[in-house]
Amino acid sequence: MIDWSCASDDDFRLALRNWLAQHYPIQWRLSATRPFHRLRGQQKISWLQTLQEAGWRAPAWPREHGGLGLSFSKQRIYHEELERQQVARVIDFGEQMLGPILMAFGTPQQQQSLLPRILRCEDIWCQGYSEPNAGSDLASLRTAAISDGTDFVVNGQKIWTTYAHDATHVFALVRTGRFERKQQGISFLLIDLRSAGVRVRPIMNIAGDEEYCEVFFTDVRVPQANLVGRIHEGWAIAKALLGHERLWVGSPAMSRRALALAQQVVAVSGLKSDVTVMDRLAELAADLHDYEALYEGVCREAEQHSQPGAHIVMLKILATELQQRICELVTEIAQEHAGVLGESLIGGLAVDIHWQMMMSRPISIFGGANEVQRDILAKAVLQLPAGG
Amino acid sequence: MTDPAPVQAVAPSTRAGGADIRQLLVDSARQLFESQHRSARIKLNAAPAQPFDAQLWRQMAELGWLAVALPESLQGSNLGLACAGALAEQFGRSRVPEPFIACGLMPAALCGGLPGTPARDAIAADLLSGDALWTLAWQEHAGRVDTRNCATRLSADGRLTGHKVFVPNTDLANGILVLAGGGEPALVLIRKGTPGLHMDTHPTTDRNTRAHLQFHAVPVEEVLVTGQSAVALVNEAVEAATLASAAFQTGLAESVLEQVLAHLRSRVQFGRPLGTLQTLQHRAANLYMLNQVARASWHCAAERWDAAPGSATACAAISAAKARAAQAALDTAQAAVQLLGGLGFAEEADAGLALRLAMLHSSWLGGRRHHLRRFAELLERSA
Repeated sequence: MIDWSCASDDDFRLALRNWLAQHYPIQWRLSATRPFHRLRGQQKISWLQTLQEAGWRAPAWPREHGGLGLSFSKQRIYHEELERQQVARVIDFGEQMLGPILMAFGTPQQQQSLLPRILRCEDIWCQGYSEPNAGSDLASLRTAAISDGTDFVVNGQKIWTTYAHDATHVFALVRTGRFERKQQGISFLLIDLRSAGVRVRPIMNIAGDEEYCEVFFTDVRVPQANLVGRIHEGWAIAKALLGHERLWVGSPAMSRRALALAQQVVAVSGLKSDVTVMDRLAELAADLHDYEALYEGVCREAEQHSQPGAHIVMLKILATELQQRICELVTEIAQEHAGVLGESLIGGLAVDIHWQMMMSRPISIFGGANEVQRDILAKAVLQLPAGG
Repeated sequence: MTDPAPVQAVAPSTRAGGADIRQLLVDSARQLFESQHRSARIKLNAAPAQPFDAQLWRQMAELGWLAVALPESLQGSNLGLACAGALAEQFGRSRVPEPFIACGLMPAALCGGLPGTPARDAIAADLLSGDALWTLAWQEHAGRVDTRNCATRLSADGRLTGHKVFVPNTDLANGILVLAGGGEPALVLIRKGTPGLHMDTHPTTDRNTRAHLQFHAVPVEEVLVTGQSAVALVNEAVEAATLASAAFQTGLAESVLEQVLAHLRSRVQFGRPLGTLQTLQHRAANLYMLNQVARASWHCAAERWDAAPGSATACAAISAAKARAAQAALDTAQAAVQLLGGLGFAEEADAGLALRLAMLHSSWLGGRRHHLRRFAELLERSA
């Protein structure tokens, strides 16, 4: 396997570019009808296995664990090239979330048995954090795991569990004890979704897709060995700053896709002479330009420090709300096409106005609603006093 | 307190790694303003009404600030826009009225391209000594800051006819540099009091002045440069000033937000600090993010200009930065007036003063709409 961490940036970029051009299926590219498309199910597995076999999987993982071991700046090149080739996004909780957690908090045994299975897609993971009464206030979670000496017995319910119906396993936050602080007594547990007592029910989202699920646990037996880190101390694991992973949620890539769509729709709708529309397009283009400048600055800063500062929560807020503003303009300039459910043709361009609008909605909710992010910004960065 | 350190001329090769020099400039500006400047100088009830401090201006010259955009061949330090912007940002932070951008940066940016004439040498010498000020007259209509369609003409016998608007600091200026258009554009020097020159002078919100000038066959003292290079030089000076104004407004917005945050932390109402209220926290968070974006935008523009002066991508970035900074300064200052409550409406607090400076800078050198349109146009051209 080539050690890309030693290659020059240009060599690395060109090699990946050429390989993607040859191997990424054209029919899976992002398009005007699916500008924010995500691969899932069998497509996702097939693509991840192609990456694995060719030695391009897990850019951020260290080489000792089977990843590419890329520096942060090379990881940025990696993502730039995926974007350039219009590769659909992949949510792989195993690679992106669980892997780094196991490397930091797992036992050598857990690392050796689980990490290779993630890379080969033998285990497909989903993340079981939110519950019906624990959303933004995650620490209020109640799914219980009681030890009976040999196993944990899990009872409760998770919700908004993305791609649980595609997954074989869930890494979950469960309550193992009650203490003064509700953050205490939470443990990080690995659960096989094929165990007796697990039921997964898909939930349709407002775009018409079944992307997330409810997961019910009734007397599900989980071996003690599936506990990650120390009992009652799972909150710290969930909250652990996973280094640069936090920067990717602020990537301007999706806003660039949205702006490209807006520009296409303006062109095919004959709106280039409409001063109001062109002014709004210019404003959004400048918003994107300025946000890219901010993101670039924060990334450069991050290349020099292993832990980015608290101020980077602003990236998620700005990136998601920018993407939403652009999708709102697309909806407005598409005129009656905005009322069409599914595909529609504007001057020869196939679009799906409903889908892009709906898919731009949850980004400001998932991963901590933007209102909560603003609370964090106000307290951690602006040093405004906590309420109460 | 130690005296601020002057900036030495540096070789162009040190420009790229100019972070240290930039920090030096910022530190020296903070020091000087802390000891020599009080915002009371530009309040509505300040006396004298004209706050310009000739002694302070000389100190700025001695520190090398007025020559950061002057080439080394003229004893300048040629530090580029990243450094000029860093200084302008400090002027904005401390709300200093001395016309660094109009009478320091703009003449310095012009000088580099001018052929050797007595007038050019006098301007360069004044930028190093601070003994006299110079100003540039190029704009002919409100809201139109480009040099296209310049209607002022220079006759064959050296007389100027036409008009200019919103010319900064003519009351302080030793001489006025005027752009004439037509088939053979020219940059010429005229003096105040010359027959045929009519000046209509107005105070500005930072207690400086802008004047509308009319030229009725005004004899010029010297022609500094002719041909398209006259236009190109003025364009370059305007770009530099636009970037610096963006930096000024960013510094202004950031300092205003700090004032607001201090108020939200300390002011107790309903038995708790205002800053515990989520609606105010979120407003502050929004302003913080806007200011961070404004800062990133002017830094990006300065970096692009210093790497490729005059390029379409650099000019587009300058427009984006100017538009963003105007939004940041206006929004933050307007919010400050509101969030400081009754005090915000009192001239005693600095919120009104900040809003006044934002009104001046957000419109000077092109407003938000002008720059957003220019940004889109340049972006399309460079694509």
